[in-house]
Formats: sequence, C-alpha cells, structure tokens
Amino acid sequence: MLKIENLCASVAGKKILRGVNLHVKAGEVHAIMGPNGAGKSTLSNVLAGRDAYTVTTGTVLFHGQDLLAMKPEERAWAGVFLAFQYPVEIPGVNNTYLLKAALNAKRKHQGLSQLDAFDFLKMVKEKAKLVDMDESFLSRSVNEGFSGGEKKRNEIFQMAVLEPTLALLDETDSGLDIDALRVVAGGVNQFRSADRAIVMITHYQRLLDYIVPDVVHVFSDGRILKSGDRHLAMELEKRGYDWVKEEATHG
Amino acid sequence: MVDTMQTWRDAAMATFRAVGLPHDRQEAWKYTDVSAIHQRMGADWRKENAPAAAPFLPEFYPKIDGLDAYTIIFFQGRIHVLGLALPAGVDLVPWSTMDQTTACEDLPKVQPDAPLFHAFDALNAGLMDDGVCLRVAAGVLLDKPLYILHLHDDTAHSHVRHRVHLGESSKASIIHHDVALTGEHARLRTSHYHCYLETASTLDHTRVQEFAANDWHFGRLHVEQQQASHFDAHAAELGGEKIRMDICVQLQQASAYCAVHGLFLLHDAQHVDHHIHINHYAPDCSSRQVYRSVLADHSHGVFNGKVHVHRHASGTDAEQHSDNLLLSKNAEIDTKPELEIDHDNVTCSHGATVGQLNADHLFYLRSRGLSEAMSRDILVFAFADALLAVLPDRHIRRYIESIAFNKIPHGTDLLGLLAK
Ligand SMILES: Nc1ncnc2c1ncn2[C@@H]1O[C@H](COP(=O)(O)OP(=O)(O)OP(=O)(O)O)[C@@H](O)[C@H]1O
Ligand SMILES: [Mg+2]
Repeated sequence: MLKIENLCASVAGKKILRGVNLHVKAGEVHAIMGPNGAGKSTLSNVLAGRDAYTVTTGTVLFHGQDLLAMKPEERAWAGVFLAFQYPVEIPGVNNTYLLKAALNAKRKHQGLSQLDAFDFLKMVKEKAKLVDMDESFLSRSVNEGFSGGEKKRNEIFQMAVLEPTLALLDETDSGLDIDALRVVAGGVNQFRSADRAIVMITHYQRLLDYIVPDVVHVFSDGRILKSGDRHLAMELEKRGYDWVKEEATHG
Repeated sequence: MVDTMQTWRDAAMATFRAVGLPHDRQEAWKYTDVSAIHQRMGADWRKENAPAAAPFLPEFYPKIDGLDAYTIIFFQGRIHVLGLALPAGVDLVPWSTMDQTTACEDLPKVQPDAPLFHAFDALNAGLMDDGVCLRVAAGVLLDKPLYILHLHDDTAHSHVRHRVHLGESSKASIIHHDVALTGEHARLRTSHYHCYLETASTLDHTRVQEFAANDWHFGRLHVEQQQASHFDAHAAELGGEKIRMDICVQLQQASAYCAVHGLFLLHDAQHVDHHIHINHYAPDCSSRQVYRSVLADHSHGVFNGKVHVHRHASGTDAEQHSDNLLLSKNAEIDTKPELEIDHDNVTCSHGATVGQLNADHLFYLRSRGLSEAMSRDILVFAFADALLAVLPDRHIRRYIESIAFNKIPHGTDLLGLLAK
C-alpha cells in the first residue's frame, strides 16, 4: 500500500528526514517511536502534503501512485488521513460542515452524487458515538475551545467519518486520559480492517497494549534505525533509545 | 409667498460652497480622493435629478427571504411605496408629504461644527430628494423592524435625508437597504441619518449596501444619545466604487451604550472608507467599534475609528477592533484606531490585525479533502461571518451571506457551514 524509499526532506533549509525507508501493507499496523525532534511529525506532514517541507530525494508510492506529486486534497481523496499531533482551531468553521464538505468533495472527485443530508447526519452521529463524543461537538467550530484530549478525540472521529485507507496517527494518544485512551483506541481498532493500514506515532508503549502493532520502528535523526515486533516497544520502554542509536552506529 | 424649502436648500448649498470639497491634504480625507467628482456631476449638479418613475412592479424588487418587517420603498431617493399600517405611537412621514414649514423645521440641520462634517453632507441637504421623519413615542416598542428599501437606477443621482427620534424607553430597529437596479451611468448617492435616542431607548440600525459598481456614496450617520440609551449600528459594504461613511455618535448622558459594526467585502478596485467619531461626554458610557474587512483584487479599505473621552466621562469603557484579511497582494487596508483621553478613569482597548489566510488552517482543511479554492472560501466566509453572526435579524444575515458568497465559486455550498 505505502512504499517509502530513501525519503529526504528539509524545512527552512534544515535537513530533517535523512533517508526514510518504510513499507506498509494493507491490514498492517505500524508504530513509530523515537526521541523528540527526530522528524516523526515531519514524516507524517510530508506524507500528507504540507508544502512547508521540501522533499529533496526519495519516492513515496501509495497504491502504486506517486504520492509526492499529489496535492494534499488529492491524497485525502486517494485515502490518506493525518490525525495531527497539534490539531488547529478554526473559528467559524462548523465541525460537521467540514466533514460533509470533505466527503462531498471526495465523492465529486469519484463522480458520485452528493450525500443525502439525512443519511449523512445519521452516519455522523453513529461515528460520534463510536468515539464517545458528545453530539454538542458536532455543531461547534472545528476544535475551537476543545481541550487537548477533545481535539485528539475529534481527529479520530473525523477519521471514522472519512474512512481513509491509510491513517497516520501522530501522537493521538498524547493528552488523552486513561478512559479516553481506551475509547479512542477502541475506535481505531474498529477501524482496522484487511484493506486499511495504520501508522501511529507514539511515545508510550501503553498505547500498544490497546492497539497491537504488527511492526514497531525506532525513528531517530530523520530515519528508521531499527524495526521489530511489539516486544521492541517494551524494550524501548525499559532501556530508552540510546542503545538503538549505538547499535546503529557500531553495528 | 416665500418658498421656505427653497430657502432651506439654498442655505445648505451656500454651506456646501463655503466649506468646499474635501481634499487629500485634510487628514480625514487622506485616502479617499474625490477630485473626480466634477466629471461625475457634470456642469450642473442638480439637473440630473429626473422625477422618479417606477422601473418595474414591486413584486420584482429584491427581496430578503423571510424578513418580517414594515416595509417602505424609496426609488431614486423619493418615497415610492408607503402604505404602512404602523402600530400606535409610531409616526412615519416622508418630507415630500409634509407642509414645507414643518418639513424645514424637522429636517436634520446641516451642522458644520459636528465631528466629521464635510461638504457632501451640506450637498445632501441642498439636493435632498426625500426622506422620512420617524418618531417613536415614549414607551413604544416597535414589534418588527422597519425595512427601508432604497432602489436606485442610473438615470439620476440620489440624495436621502432621514430623521429618527426615539422617545423615552422606546425601541426600534431599522434596516436600510440600498440596491442599484441599473448601473451604466456613474452616479453620486448621498445619505444622512440623524438619530436622537431619548433616555433608555434602543435603536438598531442595519445598512446593507449594494450600489452599482460605478456608484459613489457619501453617507453620514449622526447619533445623539441620552441616558442609558442603547445604539447598535451594522453596516455591510458589498457594492459601489467609492464609499465613504462618517459615523458620529454623541454619548451625551450617563450609561449610554453604542456599538458600531462594519463588514467590508470588496473586490476589483472598490474603495470603502469608514470614519467614526465617538464622543464620550458623560460618565459610565461604553462604546464598541468592531470592523472586519475582506479585501480582494485592488480593493482598498479604510477604517478610522476615533474615541474621544471628555473631561466628565469617568468610567468610560471603549473598545475598538479592526481585523483585516488581504486576499491579494494589491489589496490595501489603512486602519487607524484613535484615542483622545481627557480623563484618567477609563478602560480603553484597541487592536488591529492585518493578514492573509492562515497556512495551517488551509492545510488542515485540504488534508481533509477540501480543494484549495474551497478551503480558501471557507476560511474567508468564516472570518466574515463572525460579524454577520451579530446581526439582529437572521434573515438579513442569510441574505448578506447569499449575496456575498454566491459570487465566489463555492458560495452556495458554504451556506451550510454556519455554526447554528
Ligand atoms: N516549520 C519548521 N521550521 C523549522 N524547523 C522545523 C519546522 N518543522 C519542524 N522543524 C524541526 O524539525 C525537527 C523535527 O521536528 P518534528 O516535529 O518532525 O519532530 P518529532 O519527531 O515529531 O518530535 P516530537 O516527538 O517532539 O513530536 C525539529 O528539530 C523541529 O524543530
Ligand atoms: Mg511530533
């Protein structure tokens, strides 16, 4: 589904990604862990198409298509979704309206008719229930005045409504309380299916108890240093990252 | 017999000539160049005034869906459709139907000493086509807004002069709507409102401006407020080529409140200039100025809001906000909140922002699958809608939204966006 080869990218003249290689197959869940400032969010932003980042070398294929040549909205239509580490507040833009416009834009692109307003609302309410989100959030401005945890929950709610095939979850677990984590993880698990893939960036092994990954990657200094199964995450929790870095330099 | 009205007009024209046209060496006219007025007006400024004739039937006039109001219609500045059954205690008479002596006594006077006075206001008095004198008796609450539709065509210039008097504890809402039906010939429109609010009265004044693309308009809104009176002004500047509004609010007695809101949605080479002067003469009054502009193409917005806190005005609370969105690198905004304070015990705040669309917001919307164009439109809409949300009547809000945003490619889809 996703093939990243030797991806290098910089921002404001600074090299951040230094040769990322990552293959994700449909049905898989990948966890990316790594120290602050390593470039994990940069990777997810580059995949979603933020133009502040310049890709210097490398390729990204998504279902065989050149992802890097696509506009952010085209990536969304193709099935890419980024749950932001820091979701922005957009005053005056209604949360539900955004989703309806987003779904309709995608349908238009696919040559489908616009959604029926009633069916849409019904579906949205079901999805809100799935992540235990109060209906009052539906009519509020996007993330405006939402608490940190509510914003994260809203990202997963949006994912559930938009039904992407590749979900990039950038520290969605950070800021969630224990109950919220369980609920949100439940939403993500329901989302899991044979034709979907999830790449989740996290600092906490705890998330992986709820959403069990197929592969765990250690991301440091702009690239993946080591990959393993879920036991790697447990080891990281115990030993930190330094040993991985050392292994990578001497190894 | 002496023609009293002619004498009144002649006096106004004498003032007009004595004051002289504004020019760019005057601080208040730095940004609004009126030197091309002579081409527009020709040799005889008066001659263009052809008698009003209805261009087509009232059922074809622009309509604000769902608006439940007392409606009167002016055509080319003259009363055209009146036929109103107003509640007891509400008296509305056009100058043209009054006897001349009464009209001359009641007409808003030309006040060369008032803040922001300029020659065009004297011209408005001198060339006035018509207008209304509205009086609301003490204690009367007008149950529906008074909708004054001003239709204009390009056969002539037009000048209206209105007077509004609210008795003690009375309440009224006025919607002034300018619509140009045709716009081939460049015309001058002027308007004047003189509003007097007695103790504890409440007035809401909404102006929706849709002049023709080559119209000029010079308007004055002059408000005098007595104790604990409440005044709200809203303006939506949508049309016209060169628009100047001078808004003067005199808070003459204690605990009066006024809020002046303005939304500019401009494109092409439109130029809109609002000058505001609020005088706090008495203690414990509050005033608000809240402006937003969305400027595309070569358009130019000017906001100059002045608050003057006088010696006896302790406990003054004044706020000014001007937020501006520039959609093109050729668009321009000149924003200047001004404050003059002769008293210490006051709370005054002002803020002005000028910016482009937020790149993070744009990326967020696009990452959800909205096209770049639509994302831009949504953000513009959301920015402007913050001001429309405070309009007193939701039908007016919907109307302005549909007018303003049907012009942009995704306009119709956007109407669902509103936070309910
Ligand atoms: N727009 C930008 N301008 C300048 N520097 C940037 C920009 N975006 C990211 N960086 C820098 O790139 C580096 C990687 O940032 P990134 O956000 O990708 O890290 P991260 O791995 O997600 O960290 P964290 O775990 O703290 O979220 C950091 O040093 C950051 O300061
Ligand atoms: Mg990050």
